[in-house]
Amino acid sequence: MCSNRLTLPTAYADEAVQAFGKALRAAMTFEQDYASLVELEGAETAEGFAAAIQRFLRRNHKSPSRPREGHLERLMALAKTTDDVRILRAAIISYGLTLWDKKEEKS
Amino acid sequence: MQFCVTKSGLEILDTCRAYGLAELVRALTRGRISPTICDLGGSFLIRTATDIDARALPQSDEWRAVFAENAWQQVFLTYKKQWPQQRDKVRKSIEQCYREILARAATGLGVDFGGPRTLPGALDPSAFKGLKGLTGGNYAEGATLVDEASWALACLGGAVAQRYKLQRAAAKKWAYFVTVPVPSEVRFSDFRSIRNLVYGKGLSYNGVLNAAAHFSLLLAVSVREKAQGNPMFPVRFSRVAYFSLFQSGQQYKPSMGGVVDVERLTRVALARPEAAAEMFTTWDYLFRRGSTQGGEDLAEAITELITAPSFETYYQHARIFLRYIVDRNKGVKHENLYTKRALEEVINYVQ
Repeated sequence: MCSNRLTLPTAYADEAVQAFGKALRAAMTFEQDYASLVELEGAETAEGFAAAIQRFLRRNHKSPSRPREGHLERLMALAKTTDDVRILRAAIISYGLTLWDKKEEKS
Repeated sequence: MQFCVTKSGLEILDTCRAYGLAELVRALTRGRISPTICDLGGSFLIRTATDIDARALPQSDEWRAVFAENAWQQVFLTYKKQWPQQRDKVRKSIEQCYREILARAATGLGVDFGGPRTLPGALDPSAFKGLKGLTGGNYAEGATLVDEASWALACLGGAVAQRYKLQRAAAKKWAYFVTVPVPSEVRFSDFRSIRNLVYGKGLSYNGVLNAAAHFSLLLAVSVREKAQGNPMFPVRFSRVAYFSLFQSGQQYKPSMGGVVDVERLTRVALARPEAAAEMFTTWDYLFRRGSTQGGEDLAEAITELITAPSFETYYQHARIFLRYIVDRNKGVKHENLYTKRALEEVINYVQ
């Protein structure tokens, strides 16, 4: 059981988390979508997390950096417990702290 | 040759005695031999590769230079204008009995509490006395008394190894933030060059823990620079001991103190120097930004991340830093963000 526990390094390296992290970063930078950040930080349970992600996708449905459906399924599969949610939201917002090419992301 | 400083339990006093003895050995060899300080748990071992000439001390230029150090005034801060006399007493005391000190240190130099000398409060916060006069409860606490050799070596080590950062405090008063790195295994010449790189740097700090965290970071940065990619480089510090002194009336008094574990920081600096350099650059920016008005939350978050690395402190730091990044008015420049490699290092660091 212990070996299946989600950790911050594994969550950060996950492809789905990366897709959502980059999408959130782009949404905050280009669309000033701070509401999604606040809602994500406020999510404590798996249900709350799913609702926050759903609202984020609805707000940014036209964004070119929108995550694919497979990413959403994978992210929801990772968010099983409250501990998983805490780790996932930390991993997602971490993508906002790194250097990135804004022009490339926008195109 | 080997010398041993037996620990007394007062961490700052013991560390300063070890540095003091290392400085004495260096002065005796006129700087030609640099001793290595090793922490053995119950004692500090001061080791030299060859024998030393115990006749040479009073004529040594290195010895005279030690007493020109700036920190002597701060070591004897509570003596106010009398500090030069105290410094000269240290010099006279060591010059008179250095052979005896070395002979005792060959088997283990302990501290005799209850000796003739008063430990200066600015050297170690545990040395401050309690109440000067009698109170209604008839409670009084005397100064910490130690033997002559321990007093002299500790004062010498304090002047060499302690960093005193003067800081403006509230109500037009001043405070000192004192930090001293505790060696795990350090060649004394490397310590001296690291001291030259680190001790002159400083910011306007929000508190003594913030000062100690930044000092720890600067220490790791300089260890990385000195090691030049050698993971086995023999400079390792285990902790940074810190305390603050605040101005109370006409006198300075201790406020708070503690230790910051720097072993993990130094390990990263030596094991993965490229990633560490990028990580340290961003952290140093956070301290600099945090020292400006309005950036106190950044300083607090990075201080907590360094002093108590955990998932919680990382998340707090990430949340606050992200708000500065996305807020265009705060203007975080692109080069101050983490690189991909640096962020992965931070994530592994807190795990």
